[in-house]
Amino acid sequence: MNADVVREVFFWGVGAIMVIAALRVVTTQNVVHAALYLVGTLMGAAALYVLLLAEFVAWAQVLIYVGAVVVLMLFGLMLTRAPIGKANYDNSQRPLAAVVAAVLFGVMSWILIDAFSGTELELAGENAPRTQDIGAVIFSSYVWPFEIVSVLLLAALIGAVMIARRDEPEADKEVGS
Amino acid sequence: MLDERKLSAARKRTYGIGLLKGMAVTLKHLFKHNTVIEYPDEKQDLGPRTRGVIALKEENCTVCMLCARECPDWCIYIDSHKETLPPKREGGRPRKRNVLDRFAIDYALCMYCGICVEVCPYDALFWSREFEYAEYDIRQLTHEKEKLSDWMATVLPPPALEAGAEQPGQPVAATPAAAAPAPTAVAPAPTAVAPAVQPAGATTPTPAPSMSAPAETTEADKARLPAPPAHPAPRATTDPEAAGRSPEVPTTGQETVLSDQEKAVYQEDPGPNVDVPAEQPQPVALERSEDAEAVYQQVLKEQLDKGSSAQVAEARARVARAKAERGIKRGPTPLTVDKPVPSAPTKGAPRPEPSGAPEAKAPQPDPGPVAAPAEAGAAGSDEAETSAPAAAKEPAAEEPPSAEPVSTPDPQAAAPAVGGSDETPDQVFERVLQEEKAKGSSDAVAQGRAKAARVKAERAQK
Amino acid sequence: MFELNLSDWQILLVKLGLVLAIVPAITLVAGYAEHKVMAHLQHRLGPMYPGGFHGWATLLADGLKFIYKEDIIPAAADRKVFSLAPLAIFVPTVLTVLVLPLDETLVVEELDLGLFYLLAVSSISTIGMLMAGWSSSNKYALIGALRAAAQLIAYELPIVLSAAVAAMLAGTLSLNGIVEAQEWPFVLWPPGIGLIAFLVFFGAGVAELTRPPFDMPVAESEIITGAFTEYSGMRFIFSTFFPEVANMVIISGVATTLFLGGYQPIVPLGFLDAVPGLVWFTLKTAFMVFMLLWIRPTFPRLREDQLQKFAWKFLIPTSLVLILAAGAWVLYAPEGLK
Repeated sequence: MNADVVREVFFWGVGAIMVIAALRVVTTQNVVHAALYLVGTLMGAAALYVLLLAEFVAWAQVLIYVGAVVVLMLFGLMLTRAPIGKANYDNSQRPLAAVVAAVLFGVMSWILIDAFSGTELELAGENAPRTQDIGAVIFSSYVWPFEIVSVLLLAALIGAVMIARRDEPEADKEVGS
Repeated sequence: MLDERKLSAARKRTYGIGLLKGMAVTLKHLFKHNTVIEYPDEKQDLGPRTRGVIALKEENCTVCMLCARECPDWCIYIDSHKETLPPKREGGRPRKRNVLDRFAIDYALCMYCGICVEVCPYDALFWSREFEYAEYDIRQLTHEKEKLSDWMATVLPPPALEAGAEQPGQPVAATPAAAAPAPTAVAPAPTAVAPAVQPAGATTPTPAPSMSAPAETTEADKARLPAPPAHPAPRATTDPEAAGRSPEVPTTGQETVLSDQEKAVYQEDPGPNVDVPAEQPQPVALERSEDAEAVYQQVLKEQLDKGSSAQVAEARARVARAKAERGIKRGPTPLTVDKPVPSAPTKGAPRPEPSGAPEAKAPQPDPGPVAAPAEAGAAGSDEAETSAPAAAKEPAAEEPPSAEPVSTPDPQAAAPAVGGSDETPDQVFERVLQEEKAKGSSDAVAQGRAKAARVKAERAQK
Repeated sequence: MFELNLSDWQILLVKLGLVLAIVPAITLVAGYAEHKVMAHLQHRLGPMYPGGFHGWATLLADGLKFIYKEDIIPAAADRKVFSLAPLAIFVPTVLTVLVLPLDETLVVEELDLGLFYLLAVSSISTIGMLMAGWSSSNKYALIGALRAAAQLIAYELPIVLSAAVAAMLAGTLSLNGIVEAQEWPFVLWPPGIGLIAFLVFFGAGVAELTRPPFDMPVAESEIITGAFTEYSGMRFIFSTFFPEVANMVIISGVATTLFLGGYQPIVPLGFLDAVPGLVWFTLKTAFMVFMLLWIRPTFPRLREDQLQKFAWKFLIPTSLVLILAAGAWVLYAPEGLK
């Protein structure tokens, strides 16, 4: 069996799963199901990264998006409102959202095809991408974006803490007395 | 303030030292020798008063219903019927007594509070050490009186009194396991006297096994007693009643085995449902020198040979040892008969008490004035042939050459023996009185018995 | 690397088969050890009957029992999610084993990013917990799932950060590379940094396993095994017992690999090289498993807020400081000391 054929089969299989899961995310009537379908989509993306030998991105995808972001989404949903069964959270902006999504899809596809169409990535051999290179690039050429994103996240973190925090010195005293 | 200080001390940082201390504690246990008892293989030696299960001493139960009424769970079921007994003497009132038909405890409901044991006025309920009576079905946890009586075997005698404690009036009465089986002995009397009055099925099974018992016990007695006294006198010095029950007399080869005093005592022997408590001391002078430990070993071995479970065997052996230590000599039966512990009679099995046997025979000489000898003989033979085969078998076994063991009515044979006694009724009265007092009976009891003996003697003279 | 042919497929299948056979076997051994060690720590004997010799077959009998048990799905449950949840917990558990180097060459698949892969894959099971808790349509299950999610998220950070310390000291994310870098195990050298990082990793690992004293998500006395209250039969095994014990071994193996020198001898003495690496790995992992078993009967359960406080206010700052210290060590330590 040719390795390319195997890769193609995997690619189309994973792609199909991703598309179906993505459609279900927006069509399902249950928010928790939607979040779980999102897990399927994200895992599929990770699988595609692995097919492209982008190990680091793949595992980062799993660790951050599946292991943290979706978990937080589920956590929030379950803490607030996540009934078993169907519940309609649609509103009048649904057509608008569809239009925006379609436009975004078109623009992204066009840009990607325009930029990378016909590009052959060398996955094995000397020029294959390595994690070490990613690290070097992040901390040299892209250090500014990296730092800015870090500061942004830190600000978000501190902001979240400030919102969640309640200053109750009186209550503390009461406990102590 | 103190609390606050304690609190602040507790909150003091110890930087994880406490965690290490805790881990050291558990680690120490890892290397300690384990004291777990692996239950089904190895059994804990439970305390002698362990509240495992409630055992029933059936013959002590008078169907007073106190236990059933006091039971907080209402888990005791009692059924009974009334029996009319013929008057004790001519012109008397017919007596009524309750006969226990069913006594069941639903251990699925029982909460083991022990109130029933406490309230029982006749020492019919006891705590047993037995605890392995699990069932696969909850309905089977309702145990009937047969099972409850079986558990009497595991009830240990109460602990010895402390030194210097006040001795109870009747030494043996204190031991529940040793209570006299008087009811069983009394029961046969009406059957023989007036079979029509009493439903035969209700009581006849009882005399049958008890009459078969002496055949075995006699052999044992003969083997054990250094010199089985043929004359009643030596026995009379110890205890006429016990002598009456102790079936050494058959060694004479006569069907009429009872001397007059014996009969007299026996006939007046009041059942528990009459006026005197059932617990009569009945020490039998047997092998006083027996070593307690030897008894223990012997009983244990016998029990194990018989196939008793290890625990039951041990319990019985301990009972025997405890008795031996305290100088209480039951009849020899406990050691040799099938059911060796006298307090554990099982329905259908031969009653181990040797004492019951002669009494069962006694009604036959009794009816003298009531029924004509011939009638009594006929009734007796019917009885023996129909419902009490063991009774018929017994004389045959004991006296094979006897031409007509069944048709030889006891009264006829007994009469000469009674008449042969050279004591006058008054002498009998005096003697019985002395004996009773020697035994430690209360004055009233002694008087009553002595009077009864005199009446018997007078009747016999007639 | 990607030149697949038939024999590669066969090798892959054999490897998977081996993993699927060995992981349950090791789980059984560890589960039995848990029974017995915990029993003796508590002055008990533990199982003594099944199998004859000290109850060695207890877990086999248990497994058989669970297979025969009825598989119950509550009427109000979300059936699909309910059925998938054990899978979402079980599969990541097996996947983590793939990269653990038991010996120099004894590893299912040596990945460049082994450590990263391991951390990523093990984080998936959190979703399984949430799925199980939500779909059971049971408030205890939901509370358990939320506790589990909050706890796993909180303790994933110290785990990742303390593992990062090991990766920084070794200069690689490959597990084999990390082991090779530990001529002296990190727990002994560099002094302090490795030991504290190991303790942080171990403490967070105990929490990640939801074992006592951090077992609030499954607290049987409060919320009845939490997310798995409604599970029975085989699903129960695959969602609780198996992942719990298997993860215990895996965390021990990872701690061994990252801080205890993996398959290398515990100290670099020549004669110790005679002992095969697999033996070293097994011994060290067994020691770590014993530590976990030792902790379980020793400490009482913490409160939920104490748990969060411990993670966010103690473990995470500590591990951040450790990362700084490790960076300083890597950059500035004299060459002779490294």
